Order: sequence, then structure tokens, then C-alpha cells
Amino acid sequence: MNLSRAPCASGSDAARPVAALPLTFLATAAAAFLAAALAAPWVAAALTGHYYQPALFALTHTLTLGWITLSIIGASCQIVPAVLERPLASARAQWVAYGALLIGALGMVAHFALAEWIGLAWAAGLLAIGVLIHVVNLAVALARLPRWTFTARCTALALGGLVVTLGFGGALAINHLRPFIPSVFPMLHVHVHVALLAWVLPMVIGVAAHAYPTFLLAPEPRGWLGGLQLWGLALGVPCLAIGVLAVPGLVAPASLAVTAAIGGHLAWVAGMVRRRRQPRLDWPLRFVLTGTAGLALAATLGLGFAFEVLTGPRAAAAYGVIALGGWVSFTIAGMMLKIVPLLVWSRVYAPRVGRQSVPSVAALAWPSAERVAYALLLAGVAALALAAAAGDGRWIARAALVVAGGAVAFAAALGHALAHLRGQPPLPAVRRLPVFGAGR
Amino acid sequence: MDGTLMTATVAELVRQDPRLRPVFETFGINHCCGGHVGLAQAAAAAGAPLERLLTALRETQATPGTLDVRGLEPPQPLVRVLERVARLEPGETLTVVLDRRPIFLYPLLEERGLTHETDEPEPGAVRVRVRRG
Repeated sequence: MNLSRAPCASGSDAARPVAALPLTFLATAAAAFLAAALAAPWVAAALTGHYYQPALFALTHTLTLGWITLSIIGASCQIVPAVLERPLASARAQWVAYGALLIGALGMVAHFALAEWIGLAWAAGLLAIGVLIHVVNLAVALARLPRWTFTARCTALALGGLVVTLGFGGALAINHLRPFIPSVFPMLHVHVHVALLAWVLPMVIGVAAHAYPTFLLAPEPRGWLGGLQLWGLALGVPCLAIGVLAVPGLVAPASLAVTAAIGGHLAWVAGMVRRRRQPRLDWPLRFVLTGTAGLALAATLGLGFAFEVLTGPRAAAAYGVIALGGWVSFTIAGMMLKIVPLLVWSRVYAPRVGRQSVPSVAALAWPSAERVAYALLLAGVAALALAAAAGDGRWIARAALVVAGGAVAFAAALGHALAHLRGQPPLPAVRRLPVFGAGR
Repeated sequence: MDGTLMTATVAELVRQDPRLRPVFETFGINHCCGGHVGLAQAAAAAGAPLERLLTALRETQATPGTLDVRGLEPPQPLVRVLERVARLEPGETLTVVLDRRPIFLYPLLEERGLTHETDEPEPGAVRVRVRRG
């Protein structure tokens, strides 16, 4: 029997979960998503040509660094205490990481847009400092874990993937100043795939194994499919990188290993949906499940490239839209629409439960805005992928406008929850009153 | 509290607080096979007066003891526990059973002057004993 008394020492800031930290990361990430979506129609014409263009690099890094990476790191600030049951090693260090990541990402996007490579290298260096602080902070927390759950293993795998992604990105940035990479495109493809498959995907499957059953009210998935996901990624992604860079014969088997890992994740999610006790799928859950379908589609397209059924920059642009928009963005948006109201509620109203009447978490959500965001983003991303594949600039611009509309609705839904952070009256003296509170 | 009583099914209520089971049995309500319906429907089917049933359930819930909040979507476990501990008298203890360690609940308990200790009696179940004073 494992007995512990008051695991969160009273008054200890380090031990106490801090909602402000994940909320700040997530709100910044949502702002980056909105900025990228609003900018997309302006750079739509670039999608008709080759993807190797400064404007598209600025756009994709607004998404990958600002939207995706800040979301995942922000979510990690919540996952470590809530799921792994350990406090962050240092909340203060995480705030420093936030500053470095924000300024670094802003600098990188600006210098990509200007095609100014010295500034890009400096900004990338600052970003690297932020990433390394985060990695060390989480690694210290992970090292103290009493038992290594599936989510903990996925988090460790993702941290390794983040460092490797940073390494490839840094090499590409330095290559702009002092060319040393004989062929840039294979390195660029590895950078993208390591980011998606070794950083983003392990975090998604690790969080999914815990958060999806929590929200779907389903049993937590267990069994050999977990091992398939971990080993498929741990072996498949390095082999894929080696295959793309040096040993082409490795690409196909490595892709199959990664696809098997994704298949394991999809089977787990399908099982959770089938066995859920949650009678109604709300809009955030529909976002998440649509993101899972987007992953299946992206994996299929990825296999197409691995087996050379698909080739060329237009197909690659469509593949990128499906992966970043259809899979990652829908998954993150759904989780954010679930987690942000919960975090705001925890920060503002949880201390009041049992003392006064408080609104439910559902009252912090704005289902109408969520529904509009879902419809516009789904239609926009699908149209954007098709238009990019066709290389039709006019349709790309129209689809990008629809995506921008969806992003505005998404931001409005989040803003509705975040608005509860402002103007709350101070807590009254402790009284024992009957109270009402209901979850979402 | 009535909000929960009137919205949850009989089976959910029994799962969340097993002490309610004998109350349903007393009123002739089948909490197992017929537990998938709401309180009003179950009372009508059993011919039990709803107001009396509600009073009995409220009285049972108001008694400190054990609170099982497993299988609830966040932040329901936290809400249920904080509602219940608000009624704890000095020296009384509430035992809470959860799916996992309630890392966000601990500081809220401490702010209210409550002490707590946690153990894991079986895999997948965490028990927190909350005591006032």
C-alpha cells in the first residue's frame, strides 16, 4: 500500500499546480493559430508553386512553433501534475522557457518572412534555449516518477523527438549562413517528419490514452497496442530519418512501422469511442475525433509518398495541409476547447466550491461558436488540401478565407472561457452553504 | 445537490455513492437492472413518493462517510468532494475514492484547513481520507 500524506506541501509554489502557466501557453498558441489563419489568404498564391519559399516557411513556423509547440508545451505543464501526478520541477523555469520560446518563435517567423538568415539563426538560438529549459524541466519531473505509465513513456519519447527536431532545424538554419548540407530537401523532409512523428505524435497518443477516456467516460486503454505504438515510433522514426538521408531502402519498412504505431492509436481511440459512457459527443470531442480521422488520412498519404505512389510539391503541399490542418490542428483545437474552460474554472471557481454558488464548466463554453469553428475549419481545410493539390491559386485563397473564419470562431469560443478570468470579486469569508456545481 | 439527484440515473447515483443503495431498496426501486432511468421515472415506476425519496437521499448524502467519485468527468470529482467536505464537522473524516490522485484537490483542501492522506488500496483506485480539525 502506497501511503502519502499531503503530497502537495502547503504553500509550496513548486508543488502546487499553477493554472496560469498552461493557460498562458495555450492562449498564446491560440493567438498564433489565429494569426496564421488570418495570414494564410495573403500568402495563398505561394501555395500554387513550390513549398520552399520564405513566406510559406513563415506561415508553417507560425503553425508549428506558435500553435503546435506552444500548445503541447502548455499542455505538458498540465499533464505532468495531473496525469503523471508529479509537480513540474520548476514553474519559474517554465516561465523563462515561455519567454524564450515566444520571442524566439516570433523572431524566427519574422526573419523567415524577411528571408534574413542571420536574424533567423539568433532567433532559433533563443528558441533552442526555451526548448532545452522545458526539456530539462520535464526530464527532472519524469526522473522522479515512481512508475512509468504509457503516457510517461510517450512524454519521454516526445522530449527526445523535440530535441532531435531542434537539431535538424538548427542545422538547416546554420546552412543558410554557411552552407554545409549537400542536399537540403532530404534534411528538410526529415526535420518535418521528425517534428510530426517524434515530437507531436507521441504527445498526442500519450495524452489520448489518458485524456480521451477521461472525457469520453471510457475505460483507459491497455494491452499490446500500447507497445506497438511506442516501439513503432521508437524504431520507425529513426529508421525513416536514416532512410531519407542515407539509406533509401529503409524508407518503406520504416514507414510501415510508423503506420503500425498509428494503427495502434486509431484502434485504441475506436475502442474508447465504442465503449464510452458519455452519451453525447460535444463539439470539442468532435474536433478531437475528426483530428484522429485526419491522422489516418495523413498516414495514408505518407505511405503513398514512401512507396512513391505520390510525388511532387503539389501533393506534398496537400499532404502538409492534411497533416497540420486536418490532424494536428483539429486535435489540438478540440483538446484546447476541453482544457481551457476546465483550467479557467479551476482557477476562478474551484476555490469557491462549497462556499458559494458557482457556474458549471459547461457555462464557460460557447457551443455555437464551437459549432461554427468546426464547420468552417473542416470545410476550409478540406478545400485547401484539394486546391493545393490542384495548384489553383483562386480556390486556395477562398479556402484559406474559410479557414480564417473558422479560426476566428475558435478564438471567440476560447475567449468566452478566458473572459471569466477578469473581474472576479474576491472570495468571501469561509461560510458553509449549500452549493451547486456541475461538470461539462 | 438536487441538480445532480434529478439529472443522474439511479445506477449513476448508486455508483457515485453506494450508501444510497439501501435507500433505493427501501423504496422498492431497482438500482441494478432498472437503474438506467432518472429518479423521477424510477420513483413513478415503483410507486414511491418522489419528495420522500429525495429527502431520504439528501439525508443519506449529507452524512459523512465514503464518497466514490470514480468514472466522473472532470471537474465533477472535485466539485462533489468540496461540496461534501463543506459539511464536515470538526473531527469528522470523509473517505473519498477516486480514479487517480487528485493533485488539484489537495491545495483546495489545505486552504480550507482540512488534512488529507492518500493511499492506493487496489490498482485503479485511490483513497483519500479528508479530516477537518
